[in-house]
Parts: sequence; C-alpha cells; structure tokens
Amino acid sequence: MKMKRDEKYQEVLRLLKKHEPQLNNKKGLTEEIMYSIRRPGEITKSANRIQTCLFAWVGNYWLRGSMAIIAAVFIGMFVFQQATIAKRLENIEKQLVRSKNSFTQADQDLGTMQKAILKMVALEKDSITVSRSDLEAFMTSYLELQKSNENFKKNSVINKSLHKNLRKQAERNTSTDES
Amino acid sequence: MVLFSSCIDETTVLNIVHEDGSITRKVTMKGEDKKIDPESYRVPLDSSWLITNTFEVGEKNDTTWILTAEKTFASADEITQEYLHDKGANKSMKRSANFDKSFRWFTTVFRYTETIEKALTVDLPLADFFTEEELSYLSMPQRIQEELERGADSTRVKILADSLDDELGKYLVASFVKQWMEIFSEQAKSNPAHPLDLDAFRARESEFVSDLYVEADLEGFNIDTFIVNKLGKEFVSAFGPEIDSSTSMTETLAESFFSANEYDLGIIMPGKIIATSGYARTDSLFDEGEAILWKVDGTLFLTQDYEMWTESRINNYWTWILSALFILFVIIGLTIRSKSKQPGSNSK
Repeated sequence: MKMKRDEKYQEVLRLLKKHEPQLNNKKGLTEEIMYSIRRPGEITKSANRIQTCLFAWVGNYWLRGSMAIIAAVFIGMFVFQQATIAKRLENIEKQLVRSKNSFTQADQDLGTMQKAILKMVALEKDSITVSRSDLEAFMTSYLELQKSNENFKKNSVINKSLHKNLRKQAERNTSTDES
Repeated sequence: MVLFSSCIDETTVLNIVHEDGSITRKVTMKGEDKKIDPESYRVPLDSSWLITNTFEVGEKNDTTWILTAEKTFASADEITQEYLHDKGANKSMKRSANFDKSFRWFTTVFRYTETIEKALTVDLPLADFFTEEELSYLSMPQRIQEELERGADSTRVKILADSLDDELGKYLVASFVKQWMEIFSEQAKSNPAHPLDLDAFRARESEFVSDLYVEADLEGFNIDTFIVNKLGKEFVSAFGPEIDSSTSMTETLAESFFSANEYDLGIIMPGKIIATSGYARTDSLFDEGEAILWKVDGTLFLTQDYEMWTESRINNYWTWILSALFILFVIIGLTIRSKSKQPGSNSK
C-alpha cells in the first residue's frame, strides 16, 4: 500500500513538472527582480528610463549606423579643415620667410661672420689669417659684383630713359591728333 | 581763389575689414603743401569722409603735411561705386572691391579682394619677363623697397632692382608692340584692297620688339620713322589709316597705365590670415594691426588683371562644442550597445 502511494506521488510530481507555470508580464517581473536585488548606488528607475529614452536609437540598426557615420563625418571634416588651414599657414609663413630671406637675411651666418671678422680685424688684431679657399670665394664674389656694377652703369641710361621716351612719344602723338 | 598743390609724395590706403562685411577705409596722404588738389587724389575722397590735417617736421626742419581721411563703408560694393565715380588722378583705372564670407561649420572664412582690370587687351604675363623674386620686389610697397635697399642685404637688392629695370623696359616694349599689332591686324583684315598675310606680319613681332627696344633710346627717335623703316613706304601708304588708328587706340588703352599714380594698399582682416597675394611682414607698419601690403603701380596691371586678395579665418567655437557633444553622445550610445551585447546581459 505504501508503494502504491509513493507511485501516486511520483505520478503527480511528474505531471506537475510537465506543465510549467505561465508567468504574466515576464519583462516587468524581470525588472522588479533586478531592481530588488540591485546593489546600492546603482541607477534608479527614472534614470534608467531616461537612458532608455535617450539611447533608444541604439537598438535600431539603421539609426545606429547613421549616427555613427555622421559622427565620423564631423571628425573627418574637422581634421581636414585644420590640416588645410595648417598647410595654408605654412605656405604663408614660407612666403614671408622667403621674402625676408630673399632680401634682408639671405645669409644670417654671413652677417655674423662679417661681424666676427670686423671684430677680429678692427678691434683686436692688426691682421688675420684666412684660408686659401675662403679668400678665393671672397675674390670670386667681389669680381661678380664688380661685373654687375659695370653692367648696371652701362645699361642705366638706356633702360631708365626708355619709359620716358615712350611716354613722350605717346604725348606727342596725342597732341598731333588733337591739333 | 584757393591754390591747390598736386604734389603728393606718398599715399597709403588701409582697409580694415570687419566680420559683417563693412570696411573702414583710412587714407593717408603726405606732401609738401597743406592744401592738396582733389583731382590729384590717388583714391576717391569727398566731403563724406572725416578729414584731418596734421604736419610733421623732419630732421632737416622740412615740414611734411599729412592729410588723413577715414570713412566706414557698409559693404565692398560701396567702395566699387566710389571707384566708378572717381574724379581723381587715377580715374582711368578700372578698380573694384569684393568681400566674401563663407561659413564652413568649424570655421568662417573671409576673403577681400581689390582688382584693377588690365589696361591693354593683350595677355602678356609678367612671369614671362620677371623671376619670382623680381615680381615680389616689383609689387612691394616703396617704403619696404627703400628699407631693403638700406638694409643688410642692400648690395644684392640693388643688383636685383637694376636687373628689374632691364626687364621692365623689355616688358613695356613687348606689351605695346603686341597690342599695336593686334589692333592693326584686326583693322587690316577689313581692308580688301590690300590683303595682308597676317601670320607673316605677326611673326615679326619679336623683331619689332627687339629693334624698338634698342632704337627707342636713341636720340631723335620718332615712332613714325621707325614704322616706315620696318614696314616700308608702300606698306605705310597702303595701311596709313589703319596704322594711325592702331597707334591712337593703343595710346588710349594705355591711358590708365601712363596716368597711373602710385599708392600703397594695406588690408587688415578679421581673424587669422591664411592666404594672400600680398607682402606680409612680421612687424606691422600700422597701429591698427598687422596688415598685408601691396603697391599699386601701372606696370602691375598693364597686361594682366592685378588682384590684391587676402583670406582669413575665425574659429566657430560654438560648433566645436556642439560637434563634440554630438560625438560624445554617439560614443556613449555605442558603448552602451556593446556592453548590453556582452554575455549575461538581459538585452535581446
């Protein structure tokens, strides 16, 4: 008899296990449990709702992708603009430097050398010793300058009066036409 | 009757460009006499300007009178209108001003341009005659040239200036010959009685240029005699009216070049300058700020438009903040997404 009772109990347990209980509002239940067992300091329900509202787009594949692309475009645009501006500033600095270097400080070292030589020659010693190569370079530069100066003297009359002559001709012809 | 002087030693025009497109223009004229004839003004000035007269005494006790004029224009178009109605010394110059502002989200770029249209109709780039260094020196304001000629590199600068003189003569002759030949070719085409081989005629351009360059400097030079010698008496008698007309038209076209009175132009822009066609110095010549400088001279707009332009930019920091917030928002969203996808999370 005891054996039959045990069999009945086993049958009842088997039937109970077969049919699981139906839960209503699973999600809500999950949230309630999670909320109940949360550690102290975790976000409150309202904060969670705000987060869910603000970042609802994260769940949508197309929205997520579009936002990521827009953010990448902003970054790319910023980098491109700054790089372009940096390049243009570099060009304008080169333009300034080139103008300065071309005309005023073409050889900063030369200016310093000149000062050093003057100091050695004029202030400290009666004579100095220079290397043959330096002297040759100096003589070459001097001869080039001398030649340029001679060309300048030769052409100065022709070139400076050319403009004047052309202008005179134009005025003469204008006055002839008017008369 | 008030007597005016037409002797102006130096004219400087400074344009201070503001972000809204308005321009404050300051003109400074220096001369030996207190009263200056308005017809000798290099840029348009009238009674609507705020004009003051001062003087300075030099080292040799010589007095230099300084006329300073200031006016604010609502836009660059107003400056262009003033140029159109100019009755001063440079009235034959075709000048215009233009201002552009473009919003590029992270920056706003400003561009100010003053353009002088070329005097002749032919195209002859200055770069064909001058090196980059020579062009740079040529367009430099005179005060800067004078500083360089007194500076540490004065010998080199003087040699450069002399080579510039040589090339300038060749350039002027080439320009006038080319212009004359173009006008003559057009006119000779419509002379059916005397057909002309225009290609053969134009091929002689370099010959005319080199001969004129040499002969123009000789004593007793006469352009009519030169033309007869080069083209022959028969040619001259056949195309006499065309030759005279071409010469006259060339002179008329070159009027703005011959009558051009030199002045310096400076531009101060809002924000940081990022590009310009002018001369930039590290130390400013003006109290108002760092200006880009140009020289306005007839040579510079004889055969090509002379464009004096400057670009500057300012940062739009509010867009930087907005963009950074947006990028941060996206990064946070993607981070939340990646965390919720990790094992053990409740997300689907």
